[in-house]
Amino acid sequence: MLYGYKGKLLHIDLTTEESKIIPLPEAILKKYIGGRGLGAKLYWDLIPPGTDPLSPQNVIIVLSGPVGGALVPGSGKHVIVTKSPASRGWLDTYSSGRMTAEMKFAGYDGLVITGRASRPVFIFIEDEKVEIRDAGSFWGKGSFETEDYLKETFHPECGEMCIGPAGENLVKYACVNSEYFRQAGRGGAGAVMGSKNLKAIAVKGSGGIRCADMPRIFELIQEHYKIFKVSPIGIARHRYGTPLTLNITHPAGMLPTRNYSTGQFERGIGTIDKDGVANATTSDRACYGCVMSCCSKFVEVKEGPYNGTRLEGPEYETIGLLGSNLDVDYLPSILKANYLCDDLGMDTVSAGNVIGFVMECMKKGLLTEKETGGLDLRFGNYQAGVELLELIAFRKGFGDFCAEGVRDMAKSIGRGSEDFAMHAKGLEFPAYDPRAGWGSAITYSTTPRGGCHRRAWPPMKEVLGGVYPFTTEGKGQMVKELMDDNCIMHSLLVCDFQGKFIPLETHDFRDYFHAVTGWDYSVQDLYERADMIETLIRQINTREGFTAADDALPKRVIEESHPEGPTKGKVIGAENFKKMKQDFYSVRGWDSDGIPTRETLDRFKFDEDTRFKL
Amino acid sequence: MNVKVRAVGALTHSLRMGKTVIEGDNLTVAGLLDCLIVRYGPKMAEELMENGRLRKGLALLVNGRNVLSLPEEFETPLQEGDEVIVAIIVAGG
Repeated sequence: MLYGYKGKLLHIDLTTEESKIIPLPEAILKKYIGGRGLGAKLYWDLIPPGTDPLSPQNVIIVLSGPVGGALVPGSGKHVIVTKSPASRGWLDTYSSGRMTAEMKFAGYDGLVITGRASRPVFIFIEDEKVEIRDAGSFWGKGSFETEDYLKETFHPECGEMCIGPAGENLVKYACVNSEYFRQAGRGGAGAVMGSKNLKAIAVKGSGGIRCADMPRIFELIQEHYKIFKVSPIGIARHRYGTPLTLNITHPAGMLPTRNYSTGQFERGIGTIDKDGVANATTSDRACYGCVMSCCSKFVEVKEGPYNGTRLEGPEYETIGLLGSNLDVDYLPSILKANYLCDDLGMDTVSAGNVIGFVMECMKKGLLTEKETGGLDLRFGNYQAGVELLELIAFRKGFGDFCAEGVRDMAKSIGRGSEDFAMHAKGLEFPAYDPRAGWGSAITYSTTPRGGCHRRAWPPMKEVLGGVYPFTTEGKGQMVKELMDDNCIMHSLLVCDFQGKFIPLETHDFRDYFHAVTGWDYSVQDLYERADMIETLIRQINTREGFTAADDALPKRVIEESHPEGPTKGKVIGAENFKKMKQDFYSVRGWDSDGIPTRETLDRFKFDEDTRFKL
Repeated sequence: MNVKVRAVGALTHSLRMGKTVIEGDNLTVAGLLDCLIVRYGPKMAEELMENGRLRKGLALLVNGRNVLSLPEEFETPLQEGDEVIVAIIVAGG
């Protein structure tokens, strides 16, 4: 008997409008756990190499984890696995809400969506009942109005995920919204939904989740809640949310400023940092299954041109990319841009990078108002930045060009603009400049979905942990360990912030996994699976044609120094970058081209697994 | 000389304004921490230190660099205008 899991996926073919059950063998669940791990196995089996990400042949896989819906702190996460239109490779992108819980209550560990609908549609799932309804009247409408409709007409407490106009118009960095202000933001999963004419999915279940040892789960929750209540880290995080991070990255020289031309933004202190956001905060909101409400602040603009803007946010990444990166210290404009990105269905991180890149191109004379359609996109001009967002989402005028992301924009502009197009594998950078901690150079370059901080966060070691930031020594091993930590969390599908801020260790989550599933894994068992999962995902990208040459970073990061701050005069350099990558490949058991060795692959016995077929 | 001290999510009971300036001659980081405890009393000692070391869950940055990554660590000499940040260990966004 399976505990925690449901042992099945629901496959919906949008072309035929038919659905069926895919059984999940226990042996596969035991090997791949769930979330990212199970997603890797399904991607490997179901998405052939060379598939066009925006074709009917691409697959959208929405997954829960084994502990999801079972009250475990931070387990309200779901993951969307698909082929990314941004990188044209592996994509796993995470969000929060009721999706995981409701999928399980309805009897499924996840959904597999294939094909393409002949018209815009919603998918409604209520236990065994699957209904595909016309969404034509909502095509072109924002995420918020769509979510209102789902909650009002289907169920007020359904799990749901939807796209805005950016997804419909195949913007490469379109996101998928849940619960209004939670986004599977990175990599363009929203465009994949848009390419399938899929406006939204809503799920409601009437069942429950059978757990192996419910009293033990309650005992663990109470024990950990007591720790959290007196944890200075947890209390501070609850109070300030992620904007607190800016007060660390600014002094550390890590805060993207004017398209990463420097790492400090003094004007941001007191205006767009923890205090600036605290002054605009009206209340807190927690994700489903979270005791901390660490990220979520409701804020309101109370004066000026954006008066009346209300939203949950902004996260640190949004402040960094739509604030300092654009030379903007006016919080209301960041809140307005955040609101628009959420409603239009666009990733704030990539959008901020795109606008910053355009601003630098304008400054250097590589773009003029002739190309931008009259928009004066100078650094600091927040009105023009806000205006551009809507043009991007609807691919109007200059927005159509910007909808492709910085990699393709730089290819088109040329004339050296590739050097400051801040991306890895086509995914724009998050808000930590690798020059202030060289471990991030490995993370961004080798992460399979591209420039990403969610697979490992080296500033924890190199800024907050006391590891010397400007060296190659030990960084390959350090990044591998950080990635494996997160891989475990993202396969159990638990928010990794819980672990960091309650704080909890991997063995605590092992205890939850044991109590929910009854499977008595050691911590080492989990780390071995993390190693295996990351190698399988590397194999996926290798099969797609990626090589070590794709593990690259823009010239600005490798060859330039910041002009000020603790990073002034520190240059990573091509040789150091190469050495760190080689060290990382080596500790992973991959060869010098970044390809898993035969010995490594044999260790994980992928060939012996049952293959999924549709 | 004057050294700026800023608290980021830390010292919420002992340094309520979140910042201060410490004056002194030949200050090291360790000396600065002693000055903070002398000025703000037992609450500062409780929030800042644990068994004679920096409290677990805190990080100390000197001009943006973690003190543990500096060659002389807590014996690092401070200069006029330096900024020392006492931060809780936060992560990401």
